[in-house]
Amino acid sequence: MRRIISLTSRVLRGYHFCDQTALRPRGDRQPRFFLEERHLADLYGAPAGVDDFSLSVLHSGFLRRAWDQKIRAMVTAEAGNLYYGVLEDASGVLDGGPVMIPWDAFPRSLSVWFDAIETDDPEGRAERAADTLRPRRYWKLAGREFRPFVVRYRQQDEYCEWRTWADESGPLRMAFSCENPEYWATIAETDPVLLVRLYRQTLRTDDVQAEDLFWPHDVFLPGGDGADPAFAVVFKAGEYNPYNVWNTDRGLVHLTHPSNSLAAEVHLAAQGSWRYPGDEALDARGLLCCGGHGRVERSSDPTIASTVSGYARKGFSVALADPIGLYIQPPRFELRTPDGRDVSGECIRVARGDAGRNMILRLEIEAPPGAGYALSQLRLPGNSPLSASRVARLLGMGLFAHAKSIPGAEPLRIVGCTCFCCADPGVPAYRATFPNDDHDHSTPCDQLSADAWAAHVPVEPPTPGGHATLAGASQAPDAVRRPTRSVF
Amino acid sequence: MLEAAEIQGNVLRGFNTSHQILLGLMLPRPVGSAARAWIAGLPVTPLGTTAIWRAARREARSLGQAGAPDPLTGLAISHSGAQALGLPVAGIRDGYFGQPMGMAADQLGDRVEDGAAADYLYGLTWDDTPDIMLILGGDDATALGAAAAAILSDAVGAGVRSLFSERGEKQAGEKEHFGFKDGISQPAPRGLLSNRPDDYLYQRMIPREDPRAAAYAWPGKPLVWPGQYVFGYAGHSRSSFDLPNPPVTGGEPWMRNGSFLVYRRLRQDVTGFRAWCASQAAAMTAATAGTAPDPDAFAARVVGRWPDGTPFHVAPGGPDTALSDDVRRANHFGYDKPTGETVVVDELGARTVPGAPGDKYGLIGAMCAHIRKVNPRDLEADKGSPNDTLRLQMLRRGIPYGPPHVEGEPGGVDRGLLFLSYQTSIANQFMKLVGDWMNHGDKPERGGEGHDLLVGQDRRAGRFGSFPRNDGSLFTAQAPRQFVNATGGAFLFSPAISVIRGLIG
Repeated sequence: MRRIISLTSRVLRGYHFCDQTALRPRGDRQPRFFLEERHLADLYGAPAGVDDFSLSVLHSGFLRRAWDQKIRAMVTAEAGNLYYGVLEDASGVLDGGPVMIPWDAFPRSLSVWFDAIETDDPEGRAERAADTLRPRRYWKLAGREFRPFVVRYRQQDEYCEWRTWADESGPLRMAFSCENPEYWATIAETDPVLLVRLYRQTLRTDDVQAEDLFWPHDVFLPGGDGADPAFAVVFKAGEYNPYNVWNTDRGLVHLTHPSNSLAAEVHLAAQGSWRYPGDEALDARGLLCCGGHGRVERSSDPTIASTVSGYARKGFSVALADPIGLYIQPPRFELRTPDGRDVSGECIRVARGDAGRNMILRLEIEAPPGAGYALSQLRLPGNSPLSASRVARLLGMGLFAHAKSIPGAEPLRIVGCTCFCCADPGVPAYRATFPNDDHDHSTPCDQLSADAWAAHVPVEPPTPGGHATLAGASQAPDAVRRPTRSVF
Repeated sequence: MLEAAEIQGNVLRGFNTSHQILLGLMLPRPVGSAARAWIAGLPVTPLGTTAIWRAARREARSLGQAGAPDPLTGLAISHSGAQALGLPVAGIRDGYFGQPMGMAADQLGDRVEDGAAADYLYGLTWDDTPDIMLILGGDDATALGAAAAAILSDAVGAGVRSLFSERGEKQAGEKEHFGFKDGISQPAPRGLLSNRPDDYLYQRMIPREDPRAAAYAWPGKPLVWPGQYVFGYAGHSRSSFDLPNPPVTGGEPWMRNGSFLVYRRLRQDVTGFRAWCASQAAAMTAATAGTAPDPDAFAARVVGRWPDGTPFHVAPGGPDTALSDDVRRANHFGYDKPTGETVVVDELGARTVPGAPGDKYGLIGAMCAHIRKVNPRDLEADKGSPNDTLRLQMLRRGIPYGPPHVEGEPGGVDRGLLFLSYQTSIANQFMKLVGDWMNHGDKPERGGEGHDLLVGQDRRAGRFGSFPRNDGSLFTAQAPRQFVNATGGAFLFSPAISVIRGLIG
């Protein structure tokens, strides 16, 4: 049997490390029943202030403390220099109220890719890719051998994911979620009964069973270096499975993309406050290429990092506002029937969260019973047929951050870039970030393997009877895939 | 290379004439041979001719002569017009083209009553949206008027009906009616007019050894791949200013060498705007002892430039004519970072253009300033990188209409801007700029920055804007009234000249 190593490899320490999505969120493994005795008023709130915990048969304070402890673990792991926990540090003077940092919900990375390779309908192709679940290979023990198996997640990487329920007549319901996986893992760890109840309530089905939501076996990934074929445990049997069928193939409850986590948000905000070599001359994406604290082709990460970096350069310390979360912003579009009637009010529903505070967690679109029309008949602005991807193009996202001046606080100064960016060899407009092992570009861009790129390249819908395929690998002619720089 | 004999002249280069007449016309149903022959025979001006015409005019003006008298002509068709003429429209992907502008009034922030745009004179439905619109440009108002009358006479003879006629006229100093110089910031489409290697649509004035030469025609004039404006050409990448995307297509083959045209008739309330600026200037300085209200400075904060075009954050103390009079300097600034001095070689010879400071945090100029809301330049924004921002930019060809404002005049004078913009995506360029940025108080940079109080609309919530005072504190201005109201418009398409010629059937 192959050797099993512990969770110590470098990639496991940081959730974002040069775009390499780590195996599980940081702060996920906390002592479960040794909660600190803080006054309830001093606890970090649930995202958008949702009141799930009062539904538990346990004392709600127990769940609140568990969630608070998980948030504090993330925050304190990153705190220091010009990043602080908003409930931990009362020193200094706040620079006004929290600031909302906006970005678009539709994955910019898909737009970059398909705009660069597709002539006829890049938007449509990107939308179809966005709706495609992406496979991820894990391993389990079968007897004495490790056997691979596949989980699936959405390649919707702007902290907003969506799903459409449909039958042969067309779409019946659409849901958009920005709920972080750590919150649901916390509920799973503290009150599995509540977890099932919330899944059933959210998805409106009693088909959800407890055993569907937890791993029946240990889950592994190859974790050794070089030729050493060691494996690392990433989930233990009985732990919450964020890729469970009700959150992927059959439903949507919370975010699944490995970069879409609260830990990633905290990490990005914290490392965004660092100073990097030559950062005065770097733009936001250049900072991410150097620090690797976010994905360079996203809309969200560079925008967040740029704002945080801006405050840090002014000498301000930054913190994510309580309740920490990533939020869908109130929609500003109309849904119309073919005769032009605005039915937005009866079809668009904030299912979870607080629209009044610009903190929507879950948005649903569904025709009310007896409406006399179907979703397939509705039109978005510009007479565009209703689809979840097109709605995502119209949705905005946001997070809330504080800035304040803390006397004596200094930025952490990084002396060398930990990562570097390379352009995709076939699609030069598309870049990804790679680890810089010796601070000297240890692997030249043109020597990166296809495997190294595979994690960054979008997948497209499967052909009938086939599997999801890496986008653009074979479809695009060389002339399109290899544009040359020009002064045209 | 651009097909300069095919692309209409107003699209990539702009007529830029002192006078323009817009004729909105309705075609007979069915469109008979006379109407087809009339359209096909229109003297639509191609890009190549426009470039020559503009060069000739420059030379004539340098000799103290008037510009060329012949009108320049542009033509655009609406969705209903295209259908009437038998042009295939089923494959066109941009859904806005398939609607009268009135259908999008709510999204545009236009005043809506009982579900319909309340102030539109035309463009509410297909019944009052022109099938075709002609843009006639010239420097001689009398000659232009006569040419328009002759064209209209021929049109009526061919069974075509006039829906509207709008007359635009440049104001002194190329200012719009609020008093600010307009059209300073325009992208420079890449492309060659001929197979001569240096026959650029926009001359390159930065020496090649300067890396900025790959991104700018001259300081402040960013190069954009022409597919953002004309179908059939390379699009602008979201990630790289010098890597072209594949050619942009619109969904129907006949759209090649054509461009979507958005036309908006925007009425300006000059008296209201100035009164509001005076009240807000007073409110802004009320808490600052010894500071006199300055309505002109407040208006400059709202626009982001002084009336002569001087960027406010570059010269917050007042206009700098040395800067604003120099076309290579007036737009040479960013917000995220300072721009460095740049050597240019232009008609004045080789010279150094000074740089300008940035204002990333909006400490000097407001983040909600009009020119920053519609073009955050080098800043990272909600839509992504500065290249994403460049992809949103349109080629604007607007011209004022109506008489100049006179202090103390009676109310109700109809004046404003005949807004015209060319782009290959109405949805992703015009509508994003208007709906997502100008009309949104929390975008493109951060929540609470405020609306574009010059032209932005927001009927859902009150408009506001945050303005930095000189002492660093913030003043929040409220603007319950709109000072710009749309009174008509249309989503149109300017086809290639061979398509027009082919309409004879």
